[in-house]
Parts: sequence; C-alpha cells; structure tokens
Amino acid sequence: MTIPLYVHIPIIVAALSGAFFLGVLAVSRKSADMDALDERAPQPEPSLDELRELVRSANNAANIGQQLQGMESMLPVLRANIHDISAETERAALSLADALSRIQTGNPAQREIAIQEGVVALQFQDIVRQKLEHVLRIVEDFAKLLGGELETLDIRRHAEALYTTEAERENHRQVLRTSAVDGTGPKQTRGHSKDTEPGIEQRRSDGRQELGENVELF
Amino acid sequence: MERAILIVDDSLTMRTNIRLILESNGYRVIQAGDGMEAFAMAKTLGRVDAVITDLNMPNMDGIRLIQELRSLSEYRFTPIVMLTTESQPDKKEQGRRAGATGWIVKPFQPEQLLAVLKKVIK
Repeated sequence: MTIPLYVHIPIIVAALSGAFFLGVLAVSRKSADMDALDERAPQPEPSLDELRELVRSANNAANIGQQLQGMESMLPVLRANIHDISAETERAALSLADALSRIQTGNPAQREIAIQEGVVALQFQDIVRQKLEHVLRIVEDFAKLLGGELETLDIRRHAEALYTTEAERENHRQVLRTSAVDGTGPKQTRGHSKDTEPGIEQRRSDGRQELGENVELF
Repeated sequence: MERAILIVDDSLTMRTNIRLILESNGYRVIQAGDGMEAFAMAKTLGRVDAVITDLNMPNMDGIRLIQELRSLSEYRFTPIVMLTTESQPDKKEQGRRAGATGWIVKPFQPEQLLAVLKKVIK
C-alpha cells in the first residue's frame, strides 16, 4: 500500500517534534541533576594568598590576646604604684602640717628639728612626680602595645628600666611573682616604703655611718 | 670666702629646697633645670666649688653631664655629687665611672647634704 505524500509530512513533523520535546525534557532533567551534584561537590581550594591572609588573621588575634594579657599583668603594678603615690602624698602633707605646728609652738631647738623634717617632707613632691611620670609612660606603652609597636615582654622591660625607686621595683617584682603563682595582684597595704625612710635614721657600722645609709662617697 | 654651688635638677621644688638649705648655711647657689643648661652655664661661668646634680633629667641626664663637665679643664677635679631617687648599685657604678664624687639617695636630711659638701670641698 502506498501512503500518500500529504500523510508523510505530518507524521514526520509529529515525530520530529516529539523527539525534540523529549530531548528538551531530558536536557532539562540532566541540568537539574548536575546542579544538585555541584552543590554537594567540595568547594574549590583557597588560593595561597587567601591562606596567608587566614594565617595572618589568626596570628593577629593570638597577638592581641597576648598583648591584652601583658597589659592585664601590668595593671596591678600600676595600681600598687599609684597607691604608694597617694600614701606618700598624704604622709608628706601630714608631716608638713606637724612640722608647721611645732615651728609655731616649739622652742628654738624643737623648731630647728621641725624645719629639718619639713625640708625632708618637701622632697616627696619630686619623688611623687617621678613616680607619676613612670605610671604615665607605662600607660603610653599600653597604647603602643595595642598598636603593635611593642610586645608584651617589651612593656615589662620598659617599665623595669623606668623605675628609679626601690618601692617601684619591689611592686613590680611582687606583682609579677604573685601573678605567676596564683593569678592574683599584690597586697597593696605595705609598710612604710623604703623610699620614705630618711637615710640618716639608718646607721651603719662601716665608714658610711657618719653620713647615713643613703650616702656614698667614691 | 663664699662657696659657689651649681645645682642641677628639673624639679623646681627640689632646687628651691636645696637652695634654701645651702644659702642658709653660707653658700652661693647657681641653678640649672637640666644637664644641657648646666653644661652651657658651666662653660660661661668658669669654675664652681661643687656641683649637685639629679640623675634623670630631660635633654641631658646627670651621668652625661658629669662626662661633659669632666671634659672641661675647670671641672676636671670639681666635686660632683649625684642627688637622686635612684639607689641601684649598677647606676651608682655608672656614676662613679663617669666621674661622680658622691651619691645621695633622696629623700635626704639637710645635715647630710651639708656634711657631704664639707667633706668633698677641699
């Protein structure tokens, strides 16, 4: 049987259209499957620069942590030194008030002693000023530490190099020793500071006895 | 004869204090606020009988001042006494090597300063 040409054409068109739509459907499904696969697939590895940046950030975070710890360990030293400054200022003022009172009411010999004591008390302005300057310099070092210009160990060394009085050095040693042992700060209520002892009260049996413990001739 | 003493300290309170002690005991006092000023004054003043200097000062510290003064012929044998809060042996040794004659740790009694001056001024 011969099929007429006018029948062939629609059949061919229908077949081709079906195949086309089937093809589109298949491709569409395949694409959806590929997308799902892509989501489950591992991400591409970071570049060397990205890895370097990550390491740098982690190091910075660790450094800031260390720096904060360094500052925290120095805070009790500052607190102890400021406590000493306050106590010395008060002692000097009381000593001056006492000396003034004896200058007004005492006999000539008592007045002479009172004047000497007043002269010693006045010297605490200089001692206190120096200690305050040292506190200020340590606070300035805190800023440098946070800015990355200093390291934790530097801040302690700088502080130790600043001190000029035995009381400051003792506070520093005591705080760092105490912190290392039990994580606590210093006991701030100390006895009469070594710096506040007029040397003439301390007599020695050697050649310096005549001049006092705080005097040395070369 | 009135003895001339050069006082070097950046604390005005301390300079005033020392001046009062010395002037009431017959000394003539010349003052400088730091090592650099003191060195400049020393070059123009000529010799003095003794120098009393602080250690920690701006511009030029006490140790450097001693070294500079010792380079001047007029100050080669002038007694120079350090008057400071510093009591560390290594600092004293630095001072001794620079040419200091004596070391007094603050706070001091006026009679100590007078006794030291009497001893070091020949």
